[in-house]
Amino acid sequence: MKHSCTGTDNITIRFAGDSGDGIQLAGDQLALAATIDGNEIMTWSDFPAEIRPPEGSLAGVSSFQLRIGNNRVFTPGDMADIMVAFNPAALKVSLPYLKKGGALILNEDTFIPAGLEKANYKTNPLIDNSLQSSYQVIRVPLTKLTRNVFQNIGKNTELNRKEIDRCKNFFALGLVSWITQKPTRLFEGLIKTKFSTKPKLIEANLTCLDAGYRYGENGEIFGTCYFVNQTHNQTQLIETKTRYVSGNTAMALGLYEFAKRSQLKLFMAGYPITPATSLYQDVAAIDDDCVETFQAEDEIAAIGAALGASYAGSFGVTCTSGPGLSLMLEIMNLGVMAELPMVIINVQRAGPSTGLPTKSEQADLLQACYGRHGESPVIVMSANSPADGYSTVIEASNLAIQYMTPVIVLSDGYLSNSAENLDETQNIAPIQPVNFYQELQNFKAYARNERTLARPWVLLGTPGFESTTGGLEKDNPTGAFSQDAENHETMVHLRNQKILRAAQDFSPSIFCGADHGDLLIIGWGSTFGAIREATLQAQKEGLSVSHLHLRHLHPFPLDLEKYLQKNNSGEYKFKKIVVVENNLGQLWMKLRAEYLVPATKLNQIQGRPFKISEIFDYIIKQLRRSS
Amino acid sequence: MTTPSTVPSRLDFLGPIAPRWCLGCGYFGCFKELTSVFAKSGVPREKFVVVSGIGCSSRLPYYTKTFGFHTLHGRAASIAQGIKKARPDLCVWMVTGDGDSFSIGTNHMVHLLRRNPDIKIMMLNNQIYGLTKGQASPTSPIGTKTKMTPHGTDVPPVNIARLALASGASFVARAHDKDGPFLEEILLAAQNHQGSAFVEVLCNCVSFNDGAFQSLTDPNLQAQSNIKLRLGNPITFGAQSEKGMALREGELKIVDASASDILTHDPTNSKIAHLLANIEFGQSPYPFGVLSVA
Repeated sequence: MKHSCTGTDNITIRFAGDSGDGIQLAGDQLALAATIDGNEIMTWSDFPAEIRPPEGSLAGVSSFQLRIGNNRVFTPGDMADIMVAFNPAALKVSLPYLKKGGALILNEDTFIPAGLEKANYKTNPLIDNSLQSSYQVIRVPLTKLTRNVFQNIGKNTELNRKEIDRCKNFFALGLVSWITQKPTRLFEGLIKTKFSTKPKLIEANLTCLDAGYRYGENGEIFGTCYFVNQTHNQTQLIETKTRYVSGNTAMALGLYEFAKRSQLKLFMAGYPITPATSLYQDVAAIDDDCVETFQAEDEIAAIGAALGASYAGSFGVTCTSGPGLSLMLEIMNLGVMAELPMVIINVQRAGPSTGLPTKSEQADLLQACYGRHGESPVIVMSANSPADGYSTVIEASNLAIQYMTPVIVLSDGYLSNSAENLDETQNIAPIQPVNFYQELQNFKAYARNERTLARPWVLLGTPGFESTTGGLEKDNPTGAFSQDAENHETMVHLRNQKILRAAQDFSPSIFCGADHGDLLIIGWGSTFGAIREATLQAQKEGLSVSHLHLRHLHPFPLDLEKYLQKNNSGEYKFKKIVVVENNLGQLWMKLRAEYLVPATKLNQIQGRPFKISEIFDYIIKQLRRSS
Repeated sequence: MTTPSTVPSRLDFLGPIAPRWCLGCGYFGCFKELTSVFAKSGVPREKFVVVSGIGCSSRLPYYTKTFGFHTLHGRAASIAQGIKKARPDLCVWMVTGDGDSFSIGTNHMVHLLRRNPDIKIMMLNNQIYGLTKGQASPTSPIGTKTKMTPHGTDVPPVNIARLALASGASFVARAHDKDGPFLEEILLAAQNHQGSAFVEVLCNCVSFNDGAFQSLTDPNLQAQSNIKLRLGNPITFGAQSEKGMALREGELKIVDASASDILTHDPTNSKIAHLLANIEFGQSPYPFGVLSVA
């Protein structure tokens, strides 16, 4: 069979298999290889809540989706162009993500009665013609071929049958790397690094990778391969210090960068909770005196230790998910009253309660803004993509110090696990080393900086400044505890004003399109990619749509109002405003409350990111109706 | 400002606000001895940090002229550990109460003691919730009747010393509020201990639990009811030290002081420490002093 090679702007691949099949590993390796090869990428991991559900079960399906592009890709793709399904259960669960006409590569060795039954198939989809009319079905005896590799090399690789079978993910990866024209040399360094502690697997996996590649090249199973042009050449990659990072890793790197620039010691306290745990682990892996991590006995102890560290002159940070944030609110409130700097990262997951621990949602916005008792304002920010986590935490940390306040950074499960390229040399607002207050004369603990309204930060242990702070209300401006009525109202207003002032130092919101038109889509957090692509698609079709993406949820940024205003003739700048969220309408509620705008909402709460098509279809519906 | 002498006095550690506890509260004595210990410690004033939770006990930091943090109910242990980790050069004292540390705060207290950071803990135990006006605490004797427990509490109280030891505490001591010099001795030992130093102080709550420790603190009854443990001294009690403790058949027995096997107190003997800790509140005599050093 003669192969044709087609150039394409982007291609979406989805691996799906059993939790024990090494799906995440295979997908991750392909993403890394594409990055090294100079492409833009975006990934999405979709895996179960249990560690190892029963083999072949529907509950055990783990998926990895990856879009490779020659320009920036904003999402991991609505639908896959190519899907590899390792067993019937994976096929059942993942098929809805494969586009019609897409290539469906199936491991035919697992489509046996036992496997089919576990996936609730009454008949075998390989032979009952249910797939052939809609997809290009490619049957690969993956398990057999992998075993053959080891027989053929005739060496004693010291692997047992189970370990040999597990290498089939690298065989499949090899096949896909041929389809996407990623030469196997790209993977060599990656495989050697990944398996450095298990050397016998290095050769095994390299051999399977190579065999899979040649199977595609020499075999007759696949007619076309795809070539995605590079965005970056190798020199560019090295100069910009680009690396492929997950959202959690990007945030860890950002915190470290802030610690170095501010010359504060970073004190990260945490408690394991999905999907925040890997962020803490990434910080714990940093080997530098300016970083200390502490695993506490629960979330309350974690934020307590972080607050204590900030009180003592370090920079206290913690990371958690929704349930942990609920536990942390009381000590956060102590931070509000004592006016201490802290960053609390909430990697949101589907709730309420234990919910869907490995699925993503954006439903903690109102908790972040209003969950503490009393009038308790804090700064709330969100990252809009994995790489954006880097600059978001740096900005949040800077604001926490400047305004002497806890700052909540909202991320989510999708953003935390998903990965893309990060350029660490990007421009960040300058961070000055922190200077502690030392002027004893006329010192008042709660005297306020004229510009920020922040109180002075005295380094604990400085002679002459001995005094007690805490949760009781403070006398303005001495900081002694006070139960006076009018003083309390003054202090409530001061704390509120201080947080509102922070908006003067915010980075700009992200806007795309004309500043007036038929439809304005507003979003926050990880919906950025899908909204942006839908908007660009609509703009290309001549529709009058703009996209505003907020990085700051409280206070709202100063550049928001102009889009919500009415023009001189008394009409709103945008005929319609829709707020797109993975919740029941939380930003929607806050916008309407503060700006009295008649915004509508588009919500999806299935624990997954929006598809571009869901938003695009909504745009069409809205604009067709009004025209 | 320190007074013009080379050794600070406890007056140098008194803050601008005089303590506001009820007249007759046992905490006044504790405050006096703690500030004396600060003055005798050799640690400069600015290096102290007093961290408290919530309760009458926890108002103490406002009354000392040191850095202080009045935190949240049950959470002083968490915050104190963060402070100590960030600034190992500072001397961190945690002041707390029986409810604060052994109801809501038990979890954090157990883990603090397990980790053994160099934090000194003065736990003021009045066997009641005073600031909220008289509810039972985890150390209230079984059957304690309050408005919240009108039929009397139906569970036995926590044995504080045993729980501290079980958590791995490297220093466990007990005192009461009516023997100032002995309390100061114990607090000074805590100050000088390397590691977590846990001191339980029985204190009278004049408003909501008056007289709870009468049999232990009354000057006429102290000699009979208190065993004052001191390193290297025989374990004896009584007006003429006529009684003592011996270890017989694996148990502590009260014997005549003339017996040949009277125990000499050695707080590093963990077997004896556990037996002493197992003596429940209400039994007489009741041990005071440094029970255990690990």
